[in-house]
Amino acid sequence: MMSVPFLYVNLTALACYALLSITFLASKKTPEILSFICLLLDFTLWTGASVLMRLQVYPGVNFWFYVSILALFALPLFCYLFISMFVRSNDFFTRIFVIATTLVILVCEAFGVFLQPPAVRRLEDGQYVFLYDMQWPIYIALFLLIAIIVAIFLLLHRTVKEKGSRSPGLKFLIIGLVALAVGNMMQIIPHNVFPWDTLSGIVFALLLLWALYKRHLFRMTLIVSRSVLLLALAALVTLASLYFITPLKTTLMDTLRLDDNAATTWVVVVFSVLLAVSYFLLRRLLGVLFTREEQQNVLIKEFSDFAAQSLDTGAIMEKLVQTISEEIPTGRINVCLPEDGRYVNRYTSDLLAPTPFSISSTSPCLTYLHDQEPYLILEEFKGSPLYLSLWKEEQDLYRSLDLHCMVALRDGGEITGLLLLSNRERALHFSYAELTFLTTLSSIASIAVKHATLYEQMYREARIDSLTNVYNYRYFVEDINDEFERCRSSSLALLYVDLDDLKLYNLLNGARKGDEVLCRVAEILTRATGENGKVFRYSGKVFAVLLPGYDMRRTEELARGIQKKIHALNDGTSPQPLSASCGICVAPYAASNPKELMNNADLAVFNAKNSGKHTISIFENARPVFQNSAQRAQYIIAHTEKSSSATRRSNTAIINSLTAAIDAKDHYTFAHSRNVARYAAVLAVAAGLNDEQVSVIYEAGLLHDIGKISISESILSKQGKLTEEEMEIMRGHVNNSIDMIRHLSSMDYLIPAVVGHHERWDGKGYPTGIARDDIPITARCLALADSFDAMTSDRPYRKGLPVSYAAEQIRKNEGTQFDPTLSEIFLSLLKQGEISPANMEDGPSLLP
Amino acid sequence: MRFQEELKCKSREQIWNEYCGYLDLSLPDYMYVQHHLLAEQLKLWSESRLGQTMLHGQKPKNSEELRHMLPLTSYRDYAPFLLPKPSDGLPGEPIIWIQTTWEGGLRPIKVAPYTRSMLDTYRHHLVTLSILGCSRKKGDIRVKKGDRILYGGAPLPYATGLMPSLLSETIAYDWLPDPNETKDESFSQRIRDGFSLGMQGGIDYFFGVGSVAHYITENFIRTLSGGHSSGGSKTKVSPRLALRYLRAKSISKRDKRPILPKDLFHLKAFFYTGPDSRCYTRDLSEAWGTVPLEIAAGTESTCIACETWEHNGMVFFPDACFYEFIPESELERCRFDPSYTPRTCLMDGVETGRNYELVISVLHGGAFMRYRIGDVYRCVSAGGNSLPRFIFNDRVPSVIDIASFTRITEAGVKEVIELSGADMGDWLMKKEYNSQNRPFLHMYAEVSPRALRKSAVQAEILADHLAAYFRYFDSDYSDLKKMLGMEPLQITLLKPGLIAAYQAKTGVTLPKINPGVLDINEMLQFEKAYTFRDEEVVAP
Repeated sequence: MMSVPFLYVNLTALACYALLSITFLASKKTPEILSFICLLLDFTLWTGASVLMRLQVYPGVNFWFYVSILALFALPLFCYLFISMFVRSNDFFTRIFVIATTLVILVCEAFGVFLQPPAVRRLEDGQYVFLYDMQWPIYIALFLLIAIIVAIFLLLHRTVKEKGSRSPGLKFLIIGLVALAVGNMMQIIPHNVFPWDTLSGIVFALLLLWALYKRHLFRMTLIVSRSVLLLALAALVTLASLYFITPLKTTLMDTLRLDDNAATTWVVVVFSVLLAVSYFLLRRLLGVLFTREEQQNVLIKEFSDFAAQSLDTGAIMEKLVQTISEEIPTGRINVCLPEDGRYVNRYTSDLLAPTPFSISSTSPCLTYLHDQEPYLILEEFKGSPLYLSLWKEEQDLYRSLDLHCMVALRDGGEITGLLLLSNRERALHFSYAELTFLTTLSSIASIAVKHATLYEQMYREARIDSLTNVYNYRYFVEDINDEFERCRSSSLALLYVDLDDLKLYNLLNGARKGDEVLCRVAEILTRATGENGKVFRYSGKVFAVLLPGYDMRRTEELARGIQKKIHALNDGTSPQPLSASCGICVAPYAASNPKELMNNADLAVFNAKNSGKHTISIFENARPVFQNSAQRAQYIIAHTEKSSSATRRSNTAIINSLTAAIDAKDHYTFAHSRNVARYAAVLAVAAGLNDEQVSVIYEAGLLHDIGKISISESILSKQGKLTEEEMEIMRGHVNNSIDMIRHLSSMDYLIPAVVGHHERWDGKGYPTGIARDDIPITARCLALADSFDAMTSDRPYRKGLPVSYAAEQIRKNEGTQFDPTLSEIFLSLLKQGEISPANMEDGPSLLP
Repeated sequence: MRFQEELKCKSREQIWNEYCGYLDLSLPDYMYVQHHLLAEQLKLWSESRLGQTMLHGQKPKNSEELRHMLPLTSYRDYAPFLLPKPSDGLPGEPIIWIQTTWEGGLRPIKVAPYTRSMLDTYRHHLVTLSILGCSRKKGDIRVKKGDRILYGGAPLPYATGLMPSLLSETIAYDWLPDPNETKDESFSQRIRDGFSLGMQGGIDYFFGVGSVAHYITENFIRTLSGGHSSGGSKTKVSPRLALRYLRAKSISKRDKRPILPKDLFHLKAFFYTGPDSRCYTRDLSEAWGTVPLEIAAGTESTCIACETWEHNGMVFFPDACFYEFIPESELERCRFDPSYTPRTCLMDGVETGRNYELVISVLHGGAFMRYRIGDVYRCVSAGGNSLPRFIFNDRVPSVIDIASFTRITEAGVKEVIELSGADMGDWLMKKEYNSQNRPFLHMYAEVSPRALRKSAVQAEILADHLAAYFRYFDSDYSDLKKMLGMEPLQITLLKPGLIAAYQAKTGVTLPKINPGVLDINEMLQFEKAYTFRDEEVVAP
């Protein structure tokens, strides 16, 4: 092996270029990076071939000379290409000139036109020297190369003029070029053996690296690892030991006239200080490059884990803000989420932040975030023409927020949220690592927030009534149990607010107006209740308010206030004034379980309605505990008969008159009607219908065959089978009943039950042939009761059939003639003995 | 961040993009900015009392709805609301009220409110002007803190007075002198001060309304050549300028011409504005060695457009106003049928080579919507994806504006004739240009037969007589002669009854103000064959 002076410099350069080239091959290939890789490869070839030539490695000096010289001649071209990419120059003609010139030089040199391979001569001391025979053509090559170098400097000059020297990275590029030029010029100093050109090449490459980093084109940790830095320090220490200790000691002894010991001591001190400084700088560098990145990775992982497990938007946003605050020193962070075409501030890290704000989704900032970068630095955005279209209010908002950076939470092409960072504490610019950290976090957050929002939306939709925006019945049933448990040691009030005659209001003003009223009532209730309770839409026109900790007096006060506000909705335009009846029950004073609380409040509101509407009824006395549905039905029927309401009393009188009339004409029909009414009422209770519905069913049962008054007695009491014509007349009793009831305007609420009691579940009934759920539930109850009684009662032409037979028939016809669910309930009532022909005979009656 | 700090901290590319980046906008992007800002303005305007009154409670959401709901407006529509300078009821809080002349003596002034947002935008555009004025190519920024501006604009409350105040908010320029600080001085004193300060430290920018800039330039030349003194003898001169002066003196001797400002000052930028400015371009370029950059600005509109270094027409700023254009054909139709509502097109609908009257809706809380400012622009390039460019053509035909000093309408002329008591018959008035391309008022007047018999009637006598009343009627008119350096009114006497006879013969109704040049020529031809008879006289 030949000896080459300062071989370590060349080897260091080679290692440096090779390492950088390999690392950059793995990074994202932008035009700048690609041209940098080309430049590095050219440096590698030049330095490597030069070393191999000096070492006279196979295949020989000539080969390595040509590789080295061609790489050297190509160097200005790659420099030019890199710089033109870096400064984004589009000077096509200069580029063509540089490429063409380089090609000419390379082709000529390949044939040895400019410089021949050196002659190798061995000196007496065994060293080899390389003697070049330079002829005049080399000046042509030098001239052309200088022309390219001038083109490079002109390009830089133009860039500085156009973009200013503050363009990111430009300064380092210029310093690097100057260093390279100086290094190569030092090479021509006579008797110089140190490879300044190679050293300046290293400096140049490192400065270009820094320039690329300043342009945010790669991550520094891609290039530098802990081990590389430690190795570099070790190399530095070794080199320093080798080359500085002895010269320093000699210098100290010569210049300061120190003796050997003192000089050694000073050398040790100086060297220790140098080592300490190097160690300190290295630690700083490690801290900046690695500790921070590791911390970022830990934070990202923590946040990612949290986000994956949480379906709470608020918690995710809080964690996001907390994570960012830990890493990036910034004053305030706001998170905005989309809502009705705007991005509304839903979370802020500063509790004393200004009033709530929102950003329009048509804002130019959003357009920028959507079409360009996922983040927006406001100061840089001012340079975008899009900034011109920013609204004043938005500009003022950003100013008041002291907004520095906006990051989009992007899910594909959709922006699912915005992250606003204000009050940047230090420096003006975010580093590449910080921006990467922010965009990574926002990507994770966007998916997490999207999922959480979807979940919350579904959760909300499952619990919120879509019309009135208060909780729905489903949630009420769920929540009342929870609240009851929670309030065991205190009290829980349940207030039912039932809008009086809303059906009539709808008929007079239209359903849309009725819906509006419901919405406004819901709003009144929500406002009146505030944070003290929850409002539910219990059924069509009934709202429930659950009030933990409320007693009767407070609940009544609240109800009174609500009634006033509902009454105030009347603007005099509707002939039907709005009013509400309220029913109150408070546990534990008047109910011992949630079911009872609901039932008692139900009864209270029923009372209120029957007491002339627009009243408040409080369930105060515990009523008898019902053992079964029959007992409850009896209670409701008795309650209906003893009602204090004038309307109710009037209706009862009418029903009594009509039933008396039918009794006079056809006793069977009278008895049948009474039985049907009772069976249907018990069924209704067991089916979970409310007291008012039970009462309606009972009344409809009494009148369901009232139309038979107009049918001839011969047909009604005929012993044989009815003819087709007679059957037709019999079928007409339904319409007859309706004709009679509809003239009694105060009882028109009975019509749906009466008209549908001969409809069948499969749609084959009469008079309209409607099917399944289209048949009112009241009518379906009557249909079952009617059939059962028809089978079990004595008729003129036969004795009553056994209950078991009737049950068998009901089972047979469930799903065809009868509602299957109600049929099952009815059969179970029969089985439990709650419905039987015998016990119905003695029950309380509406009749005198 | 103030502009002078931006110059230190930001790269030139960043600064260029911030202030001049709009020049690279594609037409769709330009329209996006226009529509987006109009949406903001519509929100503000339709919620204000002014907007509610004019829109009758309607609330347009976009340009289409606005054009459908609101007819074109003129200052008459706003006068009852704006002239009392209310502090509320406007789309934005007025920070300052800017005024200008309206219709001479008939309605002396009109006022326009400026919101803070308008002022901010105005300031941004003024910086853009500074940059563009100095640039010789894209990205070329030569503006510096401390640059010296010779300012030929009027002080506040005129719109030009805003320029020094607004620019001072963002960069420290040296004003030669600041018109707002020397508002008590006369115009000629300010010119003398400007010259004196210019001689002390040089001049970097020169701004003025075309005719005023020309007047100042003439004044300078006279002073430099030792003619009328503008206080030059007492002026302190910097050594650098003294050297330049000596060199200029020798050049002027060699070339046998007076010393020109360009011999002494090397302007970075030269701006002018106003109707008829182009008449002075050649002289001004020759005198200052720089081609002036045309800008479009107005009291109601703020600064709305400027040329670039290419001098190939002005590009309208996308964020100053929302622009609509009335094509010339619609304008003509409207002129002869005042009840006709002209149709408008937007920036993306203009065509090269056509003239358009500009209609503006001032953005950022401005008061004026669909407002006809009365300026006609010629589109010099449009199409493709690039932004249309315009040059100022003239005022609308029904108004004669001479050198931005006076606005003469038919009603104004009638008033002057009545005030003067001149016994005149029918008349026509047209803005024409003399051989030196200077504008003047040309009146074609019939003198009544009675006057012919009773008094000495000569064109010059009548011109002097009417000019006196024009000066009485409109104070700005009195400055015209000084600025133009010539008599602004010339009269050609016509045979009595000629106009009516010509109209009867051709069936053409000639507008009183600015009739067509062909009609005038034909009528003068017709006059040769026309014999006046007493019974044909049309009484005035």
